[in-house]
Amino acid sequence: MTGDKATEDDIARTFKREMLSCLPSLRAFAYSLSGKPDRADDLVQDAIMKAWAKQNSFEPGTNMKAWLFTILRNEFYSQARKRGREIQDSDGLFTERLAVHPAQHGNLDMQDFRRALDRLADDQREAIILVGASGFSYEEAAVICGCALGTIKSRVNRARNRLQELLQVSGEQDYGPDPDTAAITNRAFAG
Amino acid sequence: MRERTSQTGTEPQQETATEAAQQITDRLRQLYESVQAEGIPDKFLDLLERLDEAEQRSLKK
Repeated sequence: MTGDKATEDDIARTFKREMLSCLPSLRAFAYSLSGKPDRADDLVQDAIMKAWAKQNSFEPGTNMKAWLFTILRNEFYSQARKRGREIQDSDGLFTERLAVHPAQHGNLDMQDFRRALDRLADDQREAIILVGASGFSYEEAAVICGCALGTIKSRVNRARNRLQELLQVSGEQDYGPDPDTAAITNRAFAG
Repeated sequence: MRERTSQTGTEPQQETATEAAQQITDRLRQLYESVQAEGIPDKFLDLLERLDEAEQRSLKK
């Protein structure tokens, strides 16, 4: 039986190594999903413990990153459900969520973006992070979120549109003068 | 002010829309990568060590 034991050890070591290699991105996912740094780290910790406890259900050779992300997002939603009425965007809560991760301090642009991201519906925020930043395909994101491919696509689109609306990124206004000034300037040039 | 005229022949409006979507994606990546670049905080490494040790102990019993 020593052979079996050795194989088991190998599997356990591989599991741990793969899990470690996924942690930086898992943590980035948690921070993007939850505007609160403390809560994000708690989520990561809970996900690590859940993943460890059910490591036998992980099939070696399959996508560890997707597996871990699924555990973390399920944890995110189950904690949100537990907090119940605390969640959606009442303005008071919103201010509280403004806490910005240290790495993002001093970057006003990024703080604005963080605020806008936090104002998205959870499912839209999750979709745009998975596809836009975590590097998952639409198909993989659909599996992680347990929904149809079309649903993910529409969530990503809605998230993108909403972010553009919130940040008023229309291509011109954010570098040039404000819209009123721009209108005057344009008229002046046109004349 | 930046030059906004289209040199590639695409409709200016369409070009602006794509550019705006790209800006959104860039910022999202920037935010994500700033956290990712921090690597793994010690507390998580410690946690994994503890889980590992607990498992080893339970296997030896």
